[in-house]
Amino acid sequence: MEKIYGKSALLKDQPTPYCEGCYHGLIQKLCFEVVEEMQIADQFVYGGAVGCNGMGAFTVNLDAYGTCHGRCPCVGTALKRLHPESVLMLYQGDGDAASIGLGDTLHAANRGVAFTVVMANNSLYGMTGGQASPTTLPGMRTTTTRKGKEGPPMRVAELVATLDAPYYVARCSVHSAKYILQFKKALKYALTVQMEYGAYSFIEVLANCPTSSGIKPEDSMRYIEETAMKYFPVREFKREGRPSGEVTR
Amino acid sequence: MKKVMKGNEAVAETAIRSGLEFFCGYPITPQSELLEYMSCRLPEEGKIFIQAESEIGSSQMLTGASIAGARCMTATSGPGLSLMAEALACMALGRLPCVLVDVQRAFNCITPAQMDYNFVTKGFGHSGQHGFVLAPSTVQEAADCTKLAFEKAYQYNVPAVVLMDGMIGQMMEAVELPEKVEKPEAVSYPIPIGRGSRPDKKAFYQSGYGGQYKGLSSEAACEEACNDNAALYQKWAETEALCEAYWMEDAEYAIVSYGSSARICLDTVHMLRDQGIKAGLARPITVFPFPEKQIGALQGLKGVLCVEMAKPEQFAKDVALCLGKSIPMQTYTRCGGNLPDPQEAAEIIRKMAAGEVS
Amino acid sequence: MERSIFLAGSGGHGIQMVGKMLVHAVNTDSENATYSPCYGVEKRGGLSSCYLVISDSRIGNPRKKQNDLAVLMDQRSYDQYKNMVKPGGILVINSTMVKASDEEKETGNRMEIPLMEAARETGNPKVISSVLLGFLAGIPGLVKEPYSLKEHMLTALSKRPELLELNKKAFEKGLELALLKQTRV
Repeated sequence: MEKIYGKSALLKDQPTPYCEGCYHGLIQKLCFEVVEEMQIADQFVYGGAVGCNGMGAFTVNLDAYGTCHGRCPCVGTALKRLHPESVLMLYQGDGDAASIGLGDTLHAANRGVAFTVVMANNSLYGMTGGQASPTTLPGMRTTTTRKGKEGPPMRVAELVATLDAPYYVARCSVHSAKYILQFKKALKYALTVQMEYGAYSFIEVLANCPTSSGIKPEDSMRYIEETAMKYFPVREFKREGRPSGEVTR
Repeated sequence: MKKVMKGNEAVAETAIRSGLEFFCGYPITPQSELLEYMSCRLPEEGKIFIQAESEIGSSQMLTGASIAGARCMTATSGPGLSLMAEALACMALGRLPCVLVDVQRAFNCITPAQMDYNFVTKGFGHSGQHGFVLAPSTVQEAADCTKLAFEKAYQYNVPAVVLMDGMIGQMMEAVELPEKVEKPEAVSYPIPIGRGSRPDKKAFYQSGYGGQYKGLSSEAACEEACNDNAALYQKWAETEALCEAYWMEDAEYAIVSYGSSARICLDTVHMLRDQGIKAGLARPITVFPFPEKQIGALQGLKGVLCVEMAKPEQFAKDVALCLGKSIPMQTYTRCGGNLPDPQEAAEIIRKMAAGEVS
Repeated sequence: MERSIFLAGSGGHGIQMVGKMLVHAVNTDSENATYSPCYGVEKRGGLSSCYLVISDSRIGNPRKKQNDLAVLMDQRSYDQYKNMVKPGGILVINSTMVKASDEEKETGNRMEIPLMEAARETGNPKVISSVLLGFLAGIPGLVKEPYSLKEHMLTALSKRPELLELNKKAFEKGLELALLKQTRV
């Protein structure tokens, strides 16, 4: 029988530590597929962060680092300046990039450091048990917002897009085949412009944590389509350094 | 050839001559001149300078530069140092080399102090692992200690600290700078890029917690790493501790002090000698490793006065641990940015000599 | 032999400029010097002082509490620092800006010098640091090579030739004021 699809050869031959229905497993797999398709595994560096997302560094046969909570862009800034020939992708969660690391995220973006940030946004802190994060939706119940979150969520991609230096800023999703293909295309584009122009890109990816959000995997696609995307529009914000389309609230 | 330079600038220039490739920092008095000097000079050498968004940013960029295998450095003062705790703790545990310059000040007052002693000598942050800490007392010594810091950091793969203060940083005096190191040795890690390389030779660094080491993982890795580090610190205590003995050959009373406090107390020693009291100065230059042997070897003294710019005492406690029980020891501390008064220190020793209680 | 100097004033009196000139001029093969500045946090108009120590051997405390020479430029620094001079040392007061009390009479060791007035006479009070430098050059025994102070001032101004003549004049005025007093340290 002919094998027509399999997981990326870059992934180690062992189970990943993710829960069933975890979007990190899916998004990271897609990232490694892109790296394989682009044939850049040798120069590639995976910049890991803290959270469930950080376990990705252990699952893959690529140069990688993991570092203190929120500081992924700082470490990446130094690394990329010293090894400009490398292709650096940072993979962070919303807590890492938008809470403790918000300052570092924005400053690296403002510096226009030549790396690509993929921020998986599942609107909570998964590893520590499901606390609210800056991107938690209003009314969402989490372990630290038991009566429902008050106040608006932070739209991180939009924030980054207000800066001049970023070349490509987008929000993607992976909850259906259409969006999966869109995300892979976006990431490929981001990594290509990193290599060709030394450009900074930021891609926010909508996700769900089935273990902590109370939204079962089979319900998560509808949840993202009907609820999350209302707050977090899936679209490009900047392309080639210029605003892409109109920004709507 | 000697050149008159500001302390901060002498340190910066020496670092560049010692093969510095990457500097990141953040403005904070009284070290901002060091940052500014680097911003001009480093690019002239084709090396990298980044002003970070905070000391959290700069300490984490330092981590990144160290992982990348570059000779790297940052500088700060007390409040910034506290922000760097997490990164330093991880670098010390993960045995990542770097140089850190702490130009101490009195908390929010920008005048000099020695209040960061415990922070840098008792084990950084939450890992309790150590760096190699040097404490210069003059601008010349600050330059010399910077050169030595680079040597030790990259010999042992550890953070090395130059612990100075605002008085040294801001003052100007003649200094002989070292020759430039043309081709510094490539940085070599005992395990490729810190802890936890994988059998397929891909480089991997994981900050302190949950890392892999020598094929071990998690708790076993952490413990093994700490065991190895502890053995290293023991070796330093035996072979690397430095201490100056000034007029100690026939001394009956000794001032034990370090950094600017020690320099100020040179006047005290001279004053007392003029008055017929045989005083000397024992001055630790490495404060981690603490010169236990040299201080422990102070025999037959009638009294010791420990002087530092910190209250409650920090350095004095380490001295007391090493000093023979038969030697009476007193302490003289100033803080809040106030400098020790050589006369007041002399008065304490005069009273000791006269058998009076101070 | 060690000599110590303390200079104090407010921002704009050229205190740090003079201190830096001195430390550069004095560090030679035969002697060495330390310069240690103190500032307030204000960017403008705060207290500004510096300590200098000159010696032919190892220097201990760079900030002596009692100095061979102190120069106080305004009332605020006078009130705070008038006791910074050793017994037998010289206290120089900028009489243009300091009103000393009647009890504090001028003696051989205490001089009231119209330094700021001399600066104004050149046409531009900003040259006060050059007046002060000239004055210090004129105190015999203070520095081994007094002409080096003028040299350093001129070198520092080499990129601003339009200011050279003015500052030379100011230096000469300061020197003259010192020679009139004929003091030794």
